[in-house]
Amino acid sequence: MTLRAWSAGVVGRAVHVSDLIDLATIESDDPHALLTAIYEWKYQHASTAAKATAGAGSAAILATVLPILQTQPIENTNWPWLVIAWVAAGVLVLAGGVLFGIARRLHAEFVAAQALLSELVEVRTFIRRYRAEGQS
Amino acid sequence: MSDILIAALSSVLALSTLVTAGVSRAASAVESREQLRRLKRVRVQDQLSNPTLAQLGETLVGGLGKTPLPSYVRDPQMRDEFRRTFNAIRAYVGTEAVPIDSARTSQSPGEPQDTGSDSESVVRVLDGLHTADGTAAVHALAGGETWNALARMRRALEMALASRLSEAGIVLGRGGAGSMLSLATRIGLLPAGSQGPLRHALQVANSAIHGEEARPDAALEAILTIDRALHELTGMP
Repeated sequence: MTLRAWSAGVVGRAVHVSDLIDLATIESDDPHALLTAIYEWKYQHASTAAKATAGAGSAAILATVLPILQTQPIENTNWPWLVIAWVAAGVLVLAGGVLFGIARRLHAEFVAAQALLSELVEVRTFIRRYRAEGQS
Repeated sequence: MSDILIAALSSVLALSTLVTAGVSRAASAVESREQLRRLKRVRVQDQLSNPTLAQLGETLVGGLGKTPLPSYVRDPQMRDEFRRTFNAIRAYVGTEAVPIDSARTSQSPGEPQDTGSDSESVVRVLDGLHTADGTAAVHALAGGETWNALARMRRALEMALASRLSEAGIVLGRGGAGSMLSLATRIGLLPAGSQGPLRHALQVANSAIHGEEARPDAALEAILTIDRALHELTGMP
């Protein structure tokens, strides 16, 4: 598996226009509902990834800060490793925030996809015809 | 010890998150750039100037179909390419509703009435055709390609009307075949009596192009009607 395929698997593959063409031409009374389901999955995926990443960062911060608050004397604390843990936890929380931002911006893509799908449904006979000619 | 474990775990998680985000972002940027380069190579505008079914289909399905939605949302140039392609497809298949007015009552005399539905009778009418488009359309119809036959005739009529109207100094707006037909009849490019049958023929073509079943005899009659109009339009001095 390439690095690119792995990252697409983790982050989620972008919807392509060819997906909308397939949706427009399949035998379905309501391709828009199918597209809505796809974007619901994408939103769930993005928001779950955001929660998991931010949650992991927060857990790391709590797991390292609470023992310090409870430990007396504080001199026994392993500071270099703690700083590394906090930096890494900060990166995770930040990444979670960015993923939340991405999830919030999905609505713009969703609206554009629905509009594009309407145009494709309008010319679906043409597309079916083109595909039929290509196969013959 | 637990501090080291937590630091190591969170570092691994943070690093993998950064690598995933970086690779994904880079991959999507490369994909968008590749797609734009591909579209420039395809030269969408050139293909749309005189399109065929294969060219338009290849532009939409093979070219624009590879576009990722985020690129479509971000890039106005990409959206322009889509708009141009959809306009060209609409012009090709015709989306204008062509109302029928006195369609069947004003048929010109001498119009062939024998429009049998079998291939034999379809081929028999070839002798009476006036244009190459008409001949090709009847052949297509005989081969069961009703859609192709009617799309071809509709396109030929639109091009002939646009050409004659532009020669007559009329600036064409956004109107389709129906409004060009009205204009052509008004300025005498077509006899007044031909407007009704032509509108009916265009409606048959539109219905077939939009996926409705067209009876072979109705399709043949539409082809003959448009063929006569093409002859009148292109045969004029």
